[in-house]
Amino acid sequence: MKDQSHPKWNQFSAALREAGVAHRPEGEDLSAPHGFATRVVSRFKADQRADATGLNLWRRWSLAGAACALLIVGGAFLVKSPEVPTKPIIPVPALDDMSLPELSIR
Amino acid sequence: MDDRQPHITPEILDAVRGGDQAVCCQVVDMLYPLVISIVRNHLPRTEAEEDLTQEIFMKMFSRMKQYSGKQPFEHWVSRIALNTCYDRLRRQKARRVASFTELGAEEAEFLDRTLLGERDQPQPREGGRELAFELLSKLFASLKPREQMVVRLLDLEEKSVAEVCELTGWGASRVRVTAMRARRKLGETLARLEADPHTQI
Repeated sequence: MKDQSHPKWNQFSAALREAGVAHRPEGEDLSAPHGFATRVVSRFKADQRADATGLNLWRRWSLAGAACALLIVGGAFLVKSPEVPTKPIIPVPALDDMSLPELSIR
Repeated sequence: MDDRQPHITPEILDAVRGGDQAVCCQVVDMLYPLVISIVRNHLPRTEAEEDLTQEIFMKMFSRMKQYSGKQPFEHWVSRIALNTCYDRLRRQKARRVASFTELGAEEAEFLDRTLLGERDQPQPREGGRELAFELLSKLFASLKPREQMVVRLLDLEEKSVAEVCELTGWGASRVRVTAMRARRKLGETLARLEADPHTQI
């Protein structure tokens, strides 16, 4: 249903429709410029190829990167010497040995 | 949708998906009138008409896998075209500020005649459409892109809310609210112009 709460706009839009703003004028050339379709399709194909190349490169290099990372981690794991439990330099006192100093009240 | 336009059949679409270059070109040629009409209606002053049209077709090809076939292919392409125009309108941040005094004598006369309800008087035949287009773009400059799009589709192209929803992908309530706001703004601007011709649109 047409909104009748804006009479000014309704009046003006009717005049605009009458003037033909809603449709392309009769006889206007709407055909594609010469070679337009070929340009669009070629560009799309080129973009697709570029995307495919990028994707392949990414796949290849990410796999190579992952393999390198695995090698480094593996190497580091093998090379690293097993941890020997070290004796503490200062022996930890037993709880019984710990005596608090006496407090003197003057 | 114009019935005179050649229909894109599923066989043609299969060939496009298969990468048949000749069929792809054929599809572009078939859909060009539809796409350029949308571009010229929604962005009448754009200099980059061909670039925009090319962008629409590129989107069409790259999103071909998303087309489910539930709606006619032409509708789907119209939606891409409208959304691309909408994105372009949003990027055109600058709002033109025009005043009634900036209108040419013919534009002012057209507006006067319309607002005073003297539409029975003979309309200028020569360049009448361009005149109306010019006036419309000045009025639309005060609207948000979404408002411009909705009002154009509903009030000028006389599409239904359901059709606008299908074309834009926006919800019905959003379309109705946007239209209401836009009409109120336009009504106020026209009333101001009528009351004080020196007002800023």
